[in-house]
Amino acid sequence: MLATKRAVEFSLPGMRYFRIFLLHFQDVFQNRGRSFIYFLMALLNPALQLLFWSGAIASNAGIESYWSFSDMASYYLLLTIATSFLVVHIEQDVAFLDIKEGRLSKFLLHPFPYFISKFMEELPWRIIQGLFGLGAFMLFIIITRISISFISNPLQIIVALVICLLALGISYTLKMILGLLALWTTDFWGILSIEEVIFLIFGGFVMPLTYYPELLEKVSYFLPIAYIVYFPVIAVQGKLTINEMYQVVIVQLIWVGVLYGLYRLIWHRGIRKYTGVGQ
Amino acid sequence: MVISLSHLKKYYQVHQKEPGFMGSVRSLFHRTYQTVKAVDDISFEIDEGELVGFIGPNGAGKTTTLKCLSGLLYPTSGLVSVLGFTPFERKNAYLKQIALVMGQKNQLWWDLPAQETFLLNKEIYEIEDGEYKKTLHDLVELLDVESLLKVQVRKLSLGERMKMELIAALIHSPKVLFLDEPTIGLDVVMQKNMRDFIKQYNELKKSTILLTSHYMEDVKQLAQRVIIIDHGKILYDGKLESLVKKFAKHKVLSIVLDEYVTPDKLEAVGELVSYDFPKAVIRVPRSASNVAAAQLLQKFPVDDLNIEEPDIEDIIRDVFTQKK
Repeated sequence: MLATKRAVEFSLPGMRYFRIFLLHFQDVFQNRGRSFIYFLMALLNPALQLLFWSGAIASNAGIESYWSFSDMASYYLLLTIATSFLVVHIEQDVAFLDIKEGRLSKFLLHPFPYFISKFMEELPWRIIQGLFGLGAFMLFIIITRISISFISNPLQIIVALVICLLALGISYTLKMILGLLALWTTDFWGILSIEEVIFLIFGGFVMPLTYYPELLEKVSYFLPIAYIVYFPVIAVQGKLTINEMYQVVIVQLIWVGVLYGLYRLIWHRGIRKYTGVGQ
Repeated sequence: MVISLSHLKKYYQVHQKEPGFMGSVRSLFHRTYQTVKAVDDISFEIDEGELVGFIGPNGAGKTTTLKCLSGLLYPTSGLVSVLGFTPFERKNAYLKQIALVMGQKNQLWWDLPAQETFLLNKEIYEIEDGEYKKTLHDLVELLDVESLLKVQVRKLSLGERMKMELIAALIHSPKVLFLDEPTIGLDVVMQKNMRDFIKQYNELKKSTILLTSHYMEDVKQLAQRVIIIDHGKILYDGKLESLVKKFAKHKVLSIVLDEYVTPDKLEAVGELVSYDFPKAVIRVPRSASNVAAAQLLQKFPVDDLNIEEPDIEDIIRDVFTQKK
């Protein structure tokens, strides 16, 4: 009976990946202190932005007609949680540790896809930091007693969850592509700096994209970055109708497909350039 | 044949920059490249169960060859076959049968005990529970690391970590093992432990092992066959004893004298390598070693005489020097 149970457990699709994920979770859990520091750094920007907007809205009644302070507060709080859960930081690992220092050799020798290996490494960081984000969110609500609104319709909640999952997929694949560019460059810092600026501008990290000039707002919606954090946040806030949420899902699916195809192309071309120096 | 290389070449294009500021400006508009021939048309075959030493100076092409064999690098040209697979295709069925271990490079999680990495590899290589437990038990026993399994890797010494690295690399019982300087940086006791382990592993599992090393002791103790590579080309491929006979042009006569003899008299017999009374070392042509020995015994008050082959290191150094 035990042998049968074990055999079934071993052969259940997904169990192997789940066990690998749990092993990676153990490793990341050892670094929970570092995870908390990373979360605090991610909290800083939204906290400062919220401070700015609280002053701006208090002094200028015109801004209030766009979004209330309550909307702004929920936006930046949800932005903190979304950034922690959904914004992947795998590109530096891929570029510096794996490619430049040769740690990629270890993955290439494993009969396990690199794409999934790195995802298993990254997912525990997202979960732990996301939990910190949720904690900060609850604490803020309790202390400030600000009224925050969310979607309550079950269908909207399900679609919002799908949006969040697809956002994670876009975030991960995009960052992997960026990291793999190190196969072609000697110095990756320039790419990293450009990436940070683009994310800041077009991701909704500075302010809700709806506050941008019309042209800039439209450009933002054409790029995948807005679909990583901005749209999940406003979907949860309830700023999108159900049809608009479906549209977001469709666009996200397209981006996931395009980015994954691009990843495969870059991987197959780039891996021939890998020399494994350092290892 | 388990491993088969045919006319393997691996060339790199390396940017050549002229010195100085103007050199930097010129390289913005026009770059010149040099072709580095890391591996330049090498061929060899290795049979199942063989333990082959792959030696050469720094930059000879040893690690590049190993990387081509393990599938990390794409060859520029040539045919590579290991266990019937083309390594650079990196098929899972191939990767499950090989292991590449590089000295002082680690795959272990730093903040967790090594056994967690073993469990990770168990999942990655899809090893059944029973097989995993047995293999782990055998390896732990061979390397005597039972007490270290639950200790954080960062707390282990270099030698202990190296043992754990070996276990992690061998947990899936690979048929072919590529060892790139596995004893580098280890103390003499640990080097011996490693050599004993590799030898036992080869005998027990009949695995095919290709080992690179700068330490001649590794080669002498382990390798039945030696491949010497330099500047990307194979200089020698054969048994270690044959290497000595082929390349050692001299023999060394070590004598202990009862009475002092002036150096010039000893120099009449052969090249006086060292003389610290009562011990003297004389190098003579290989074919004349017996005659020289007889001369020494007849003409001088010799208490003890040994005829020795030159050190393997000296022979190989001569091989490299001659080929330059």
